[in-house]
Amino acid sequence: MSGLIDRAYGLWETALAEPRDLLVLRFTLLLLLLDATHAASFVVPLRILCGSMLVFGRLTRNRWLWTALAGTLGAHTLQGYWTIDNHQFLIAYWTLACALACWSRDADRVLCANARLLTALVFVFATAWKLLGGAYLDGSFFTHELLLDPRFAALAHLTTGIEQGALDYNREMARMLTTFPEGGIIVKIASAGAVTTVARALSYATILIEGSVAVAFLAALRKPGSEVADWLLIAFIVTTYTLTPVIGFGVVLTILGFAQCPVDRTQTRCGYLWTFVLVQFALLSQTDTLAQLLS
Amino acid sequence: MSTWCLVQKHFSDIFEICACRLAPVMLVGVALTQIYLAKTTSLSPWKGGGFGMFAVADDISARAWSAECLDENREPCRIIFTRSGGLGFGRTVSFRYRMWPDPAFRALLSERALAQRMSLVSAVEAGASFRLRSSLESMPAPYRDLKLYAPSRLRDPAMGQTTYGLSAVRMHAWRLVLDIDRSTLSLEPLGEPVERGAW
Repeated sequence: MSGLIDRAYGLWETALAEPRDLLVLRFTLLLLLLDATHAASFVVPLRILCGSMLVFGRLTRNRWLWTALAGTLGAHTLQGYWTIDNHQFLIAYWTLACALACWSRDADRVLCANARLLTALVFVFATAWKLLGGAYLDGSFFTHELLLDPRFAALAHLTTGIEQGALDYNREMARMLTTFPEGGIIVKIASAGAVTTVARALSYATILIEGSVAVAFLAALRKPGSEVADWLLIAFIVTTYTLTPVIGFGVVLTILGFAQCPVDRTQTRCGYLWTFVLVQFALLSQTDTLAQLLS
Repeated sequence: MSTWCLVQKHFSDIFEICACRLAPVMLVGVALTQIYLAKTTSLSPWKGGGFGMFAVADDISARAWSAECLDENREPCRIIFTRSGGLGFGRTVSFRYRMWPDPAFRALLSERALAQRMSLVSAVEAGASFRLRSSLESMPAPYRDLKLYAPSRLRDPAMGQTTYGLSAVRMHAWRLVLDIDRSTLSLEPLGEPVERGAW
C-alpha cells in the first residue's frame, strides 16, 4: 500500500516538475474535452481539437489551435447566451486567456494574471448576488433548496431528519403549481423544525467562505503569493462541488487556482491536483448513489 | 533601434497588457449587464453570465407560463404547456424565454398559440399524462373545471383526435415563491400579462 502511495506521489512530483503553463494548458484541454458543453455541434470540433492537442505534445501550445478553441467557445457562449450556465461563461473567458497567453511573450505570466483576476471577480460577483438577491440572510434560499431541490435531498434528510416521502410530496406540489399555473393558489408543503436553522447556517457559511475567497484573491492582486487564498479556494471547491454537482465549475476554479499558485509551493499545488481528482466524485451525487450511501 | 522595431515593440507591449486584462474586462461587462437586466426585467439571476446561480431560488424549475384563452366557440379555456412549450420552439428557445419571459416573447408565444391547432385534453388524463400523482382536488379550479387544450402537435395519448382553434389568448409568466414562515408555495406573476386575439 505504501509503495502504491509512494508511486502516486512520485507521479504527482513528475507532473509538477513540468512547466506550470504547460500543465495548465493540458488541464484546460481536459476540461474542454469533458465538461465544456453538451451541444453536439460544439462537442465535435472541441473533441477533435482538444484530443489532437493532448495526444500530440507539440500541438499543446499551438497558438492557432488555441485561437480556434477560443472562437468555438465564444460562438457557443453567444449562441446560448441566455441559457447556458455561469461556469460556461467562465470557461469561455479562460479559453480566451489561454489563447492570448499562447500568443504572448510570457505565457505563464499571462495565465497567472488572468487566473488571479478572474477568480477574484467570480467570487466578488457571486458574493454580491448573494447579498443583493435578498434570499440569503434570512435563509430562504437554502430553505427552498433543502425542501424542494432533489440535489439537496440527501443533505436535508441527514441534517434535519425530514423524510424522503415528505420531500417527494413537496416536489410534487411544486411541479403541480408550475404545470398548472394559476394566481392565488397557496399550497402547504412539508417541513421540519431544524430546516430554518440548517438553512441559515448554510447561508452564512456560504457567504463567509465566498466572501473570504473574494477578499483573499483581491488582496493577492496587490500582494501575490498568499497561501491563505489558495487554501480557502480549495476548501470552497471541495465543500461545494461534492454537494452541488456542477463539475465543470469545480474543475475550472481548480485550474484557475493552480495557474496562479507559485511553483515553489509544492504542497498547495498538490492540494489543487487532489482537488481536481476529488471534484470528479461529484458525479456520484448526480445519481442517487450519494443519497443511498448516506441513507 | 529602427522606427519599425520601436513600433513593433510598442504594439507588443500593448498586446501583453491586453492579454492580461481582456478576459477579466469582458467578465465585468457581462456581469454588470446581467445584474442590471435581472434587477430591471424578468431575467432570472441564474442566467446571463452574472454569477447569480444559487443566490436566489429562481432556476428553471421555479419558472412557468400559463395561457387563459377563448376557444373558437368563445368559451373560456386553458392551454397546458409541457416544459418545451409545445408551440413549435426548440428546447433552447423555450428555455431562454422561461428564464427571461419579456413581453415581446409573451406576445410571440400568444401569436403562436393563436396560429396552432389545439386538441382537447381531459383533466384526469392531463394529470396522468404529465406524470403528476397528485389528486385532482389539488389541481387549481380553472384546470379542473374549464376545457383544457394542448397543442395538437404534442400527439399525447391523453389528447383527443379533433382539433380546434383559439380566438383569444392572454399569456402570463410566473415564478414559484416559498413562504418560509408558513411553509407554503405560491406563484408570483412576472410582469403584466400579454393579450392577443379578440377578447
